[in-house]
Amino acid sequence: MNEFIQHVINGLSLGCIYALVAIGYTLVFGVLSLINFAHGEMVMMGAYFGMYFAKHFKLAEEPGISGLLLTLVATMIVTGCIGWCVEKFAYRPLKNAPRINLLITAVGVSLLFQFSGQLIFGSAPQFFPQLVEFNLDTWKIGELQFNPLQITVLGIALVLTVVLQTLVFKTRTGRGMRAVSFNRDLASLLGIPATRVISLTFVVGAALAGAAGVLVGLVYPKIDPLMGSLLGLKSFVAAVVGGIGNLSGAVLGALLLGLSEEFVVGYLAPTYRDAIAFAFLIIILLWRPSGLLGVNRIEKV
Amino acid sequence: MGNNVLLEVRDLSVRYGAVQALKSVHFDLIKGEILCLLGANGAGKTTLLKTLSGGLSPDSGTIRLHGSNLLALSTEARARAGMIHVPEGRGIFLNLSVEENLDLGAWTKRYTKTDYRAKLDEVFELFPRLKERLAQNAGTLSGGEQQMLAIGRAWMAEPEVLLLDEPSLGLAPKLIDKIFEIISTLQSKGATILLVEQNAEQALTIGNRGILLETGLVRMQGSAKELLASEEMRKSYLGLA
Repeated sequence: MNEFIQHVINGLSLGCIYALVAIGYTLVFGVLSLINFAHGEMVMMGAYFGMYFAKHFKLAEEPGISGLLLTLVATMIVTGCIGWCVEKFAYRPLKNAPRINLLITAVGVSLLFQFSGQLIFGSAPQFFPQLVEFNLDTWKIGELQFNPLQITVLGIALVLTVVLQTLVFKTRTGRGMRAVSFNRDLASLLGIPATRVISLTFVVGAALAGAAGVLVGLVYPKIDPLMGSLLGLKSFVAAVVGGIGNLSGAVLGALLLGLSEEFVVGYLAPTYRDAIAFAFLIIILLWRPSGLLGVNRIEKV
Repeated sequence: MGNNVLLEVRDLSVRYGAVQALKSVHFDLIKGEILCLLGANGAGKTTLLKTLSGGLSPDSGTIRLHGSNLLALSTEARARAGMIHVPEGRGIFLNLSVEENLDLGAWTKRYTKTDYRAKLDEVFELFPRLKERLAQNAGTLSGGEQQMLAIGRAWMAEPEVLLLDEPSLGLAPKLIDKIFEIISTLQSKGATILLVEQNAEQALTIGNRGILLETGLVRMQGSAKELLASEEMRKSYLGLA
């Protein structure tokens, strides 16, 4: 039982990281109907920026929550700006082009980031500084041992997800986003500035991906310029399994993916972690082709 | 008329590829009137509304609201200037609740809480049904209710000019009467309305003036009475001999 709960916690904290990335896919898909293949690279950029930031300010010398939060906020601002630039310079000029052009551009942007990452950061993996105390004895409830790192990651991801849900469902800006995602032309007729809403969506998505990058760095400290591609792919799959375009779906899909990976590692064969987890997701998609919470999109007239 | 001209359309020509959809369309919309835009399918009525609200750009011509040029403005900016278009097929956000739809209607307005409440009450007075359905998803509404929501949402923006595209389309006769009644009420509340309708006779009954479009050309223009009495109108569009 104890072991089971440990696995659940591990799986959830991994799933939460996927969720932060999956939300970005689903948001951008919502407003532009675009699979933003460059989104995984935002995670990588976040991890690298976080690493340089923490090293520069020597935050690892005194590990603690304040240093972590500082790194997190700075990273989110920087990746948010990168997201803004990507939308402005890569996607906005194509707003009247066929959708396939956007998709190809997205692949191009992704490769651009991967290879300029290798050029700038070097292709050898680097180590993310340890920003949180890693003492297994400190957190204990009865028989259960909590890894403080995992709990911190889980907590941060949860807070960010809740903030995002509030933004999307409770604020004026969020209503604008949902209106644009339903029908951009119709939103314009009401005076909603669709271009600005789309731009903001990219900023929010990229900021969350940046945060995910820092959290990944904490949990799996070895980072490299290509780390974004598999992570991005998995999160994308999570978004699809949840029902792309649906926020809660993205979170649900990501948690399922995190848990199934963790259970495969814990109880089956660690070598086949990705294969088995993906097979599980394929089965879900066979059962519900539009995703767990997805609906068949109403054809626009 | 002079000072009362709210919207001034001059020599407006629009082309869809090789098709000339509007040819030198020329008219004034006077403050407080209902101007009916009539004509058969493909006459260019919807094209004209889309051009006014910014969805299409004309090849030539001018559109002036309160004397200032609208053509330089984006669709959003035109909405901010008070040009509110209720498109054909209602165009409501089926993924949002009735309340959120109404709220989005007030996007350009930034009301204070009290003003917002007052405006919302005004909409509920026009459409009591919407109040009952407030929390419901707009996708669950019936066709008539959706049309009411679309008009109510436009009303939230306090439009300078209200462009209504076929509000009676696909509704039961009783509901059509209701919608026309509401449009009249809006006029009595000070609205200026450009009304596109297939239902020419009923439109002219509540309208002050009418324009008849035929393959992109203004074929006839005059008071509602004149149009209702005209031989040609009666034969081709009113179905009366």
